[in-house]
Amino acid sequence: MITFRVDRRSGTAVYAQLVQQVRQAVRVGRLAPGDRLPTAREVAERTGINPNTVLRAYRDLETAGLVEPRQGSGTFVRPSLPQPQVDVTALRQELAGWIGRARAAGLDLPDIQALVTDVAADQEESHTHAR
Amino acid sequence: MPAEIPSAAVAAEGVGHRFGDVPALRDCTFAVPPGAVVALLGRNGAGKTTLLRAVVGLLRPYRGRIRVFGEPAGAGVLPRIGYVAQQAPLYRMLTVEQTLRLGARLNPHFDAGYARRLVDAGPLPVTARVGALAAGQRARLALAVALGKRPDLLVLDEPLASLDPVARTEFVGALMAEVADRGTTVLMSTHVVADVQDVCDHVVVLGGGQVRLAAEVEPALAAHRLAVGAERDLGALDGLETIEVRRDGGEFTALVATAAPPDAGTVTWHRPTLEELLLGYLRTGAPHPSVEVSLA
Amino acid sequence: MTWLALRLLRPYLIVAGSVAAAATAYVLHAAGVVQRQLDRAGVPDCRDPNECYPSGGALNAVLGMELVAAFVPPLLGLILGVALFAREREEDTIAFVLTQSVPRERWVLTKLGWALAAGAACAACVATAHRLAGIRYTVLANDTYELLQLLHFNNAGYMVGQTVVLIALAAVLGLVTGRTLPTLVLTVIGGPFVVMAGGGVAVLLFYPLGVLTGGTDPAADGTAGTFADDMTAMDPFAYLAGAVLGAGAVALALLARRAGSRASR
Repeated sequence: MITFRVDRRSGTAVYAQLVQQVRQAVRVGRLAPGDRLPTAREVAERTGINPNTVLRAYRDLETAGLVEPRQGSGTFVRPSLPQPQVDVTALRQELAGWIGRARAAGLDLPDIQALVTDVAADQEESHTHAR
Repeated sequence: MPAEIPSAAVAAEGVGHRFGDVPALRDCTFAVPPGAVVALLGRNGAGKTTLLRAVVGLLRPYRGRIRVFGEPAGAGVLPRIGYVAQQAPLYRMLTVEQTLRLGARLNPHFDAGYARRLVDAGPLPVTARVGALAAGQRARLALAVALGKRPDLLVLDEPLASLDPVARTEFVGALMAEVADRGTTVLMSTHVVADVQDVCDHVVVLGGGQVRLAAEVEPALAAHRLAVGAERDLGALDGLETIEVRRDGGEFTALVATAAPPDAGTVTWHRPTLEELLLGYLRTGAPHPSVEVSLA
Repeated sequence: MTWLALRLLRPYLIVAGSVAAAATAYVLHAAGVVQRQLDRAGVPDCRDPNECYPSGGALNAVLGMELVAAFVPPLLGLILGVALFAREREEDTIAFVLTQSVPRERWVLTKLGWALAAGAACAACVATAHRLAGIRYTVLANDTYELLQLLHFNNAGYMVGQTVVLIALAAVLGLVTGRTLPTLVLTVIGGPFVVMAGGGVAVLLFYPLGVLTGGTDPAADGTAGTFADDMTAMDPFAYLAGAVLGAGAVALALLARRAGSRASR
């Protein structure tokens, strides 16, 4: 079963961290289809996270089609994962071009990272609000 | 949070109190929805303890009224409230076991088995005297007695202040498990923001005896921005609801209540962390955010 | 509730009980000392100071009995009353006990009730010993210890009244101030005034009663008569004063109930 680790200093909302960790675990195969996620109570007791936060993360994962709740027995990783085929190479090339422009404008690596995180967070949020 | 939700777990309306000539609370109005985990924040002397004591009916405020589950605070709702006062006071000469038995004697619906399980999970030595327990153990025992009441509302005054990191994690874990199990409403005070970061979903910020902010955490974060820029660009904040402005060597940092900051200019806008948001409100002197800032 | 009240009172009950037992034992012992002197002098039944005034150890024994009668009842009151609520507020255990599912008035009255009962029992023990075994000897040195006698009127009811009124007073002060030392100081300072006020009320009640029933004016008699007359004259007054003090204790208990419902911070 997955064990959550919350980074309290990251500035990322806790529920977003949980979502991200489940996605990551599924991606690397640590969570297989049919695996049960810990209950909100289990997570709450072990990590001291508000159970409502855990439930919210699970709801987000459910909406994303990653997990499904089963009546009375918990939340499980969905057997058939919708794996969107992405063209990583194209994205990578675009990003390389953009980073080149950022460098030329005088930004260093931490600046660039901060900018990426900020924009991503903004999009994440407008995404959340749109829903 | 609106001032009056009919089903509110706790609703304070215009609450004011003073000790002799010293004002402790002024016109405090807020509501706590059922099932919320609320952090009551404030600097030392902000009135947190006074407010919590009024909620559990230990103190009758001079002005205003407090309702708990729709009933006036006091003896009537006490069976539904679990309260742990600051430093978790318990009778020092009683043993752990006697303290649990006392809880059962003083509360008709006491769940002795549950309280005992919480104590055993500690684990606490049941034959030890309360006076011989470490602060963290005593806090855990006090929480066990409070939870043994199977309360709908848990009121905790600085519950984490005396705990070491391990005890803190255990205490919060036990607390959150209770919330998960029973949907208990929790109202806990603290002056350490980090303590409540992933615990609470609502915050009430007290300053100088007044409510500075009473809100749900996520929406509140989304509705604020931190502006950083050169002091001569302060004009960019004109017309915005500015909570706090701090200047430092020609630069300023301002907490602004806006979800959509203006695009233009050299001022950069960040989404505040919970800590930045709460510190902004904790530091501010004015009861309500001031609107005018133009100072350049 | 009662269990907790008695458990919390236990250390104070032990001290008060020990003091009362020691005082009672001392009175019985001191009475024996005086009687032995009378026996040696060949006048075992003498009760007239002009004929058999005690001397040496016997005089000290009389002084001891007077001191016991004058100061042990108030001391018992302080032992049982001062810490009653002051310490609970000081250590904030009151925030624990008053937030369980029990009305606070009941807690205040239960705790105070047991303290009053214990105080009355302890004081009654000392007072009865003094009345039954001591007084017949202390009259022999009446002139020497007249002032001390004004503190207890040789009357068991008055002595018990002193104890209970001090317990009730200390309880109220403890609830209001919330600190032990100020409670102790205020009780020691204020106690005599409350007791005297009780006595004053008794005098007001007694004079009309005495006149109505055709009795003698106790004050007039008191200066003129023998000590036995004094005692007879003072008795109704002292009983009345004891009753007034008892009533005062009850009134203070009710005040404590109100103070308990406001106790804060």
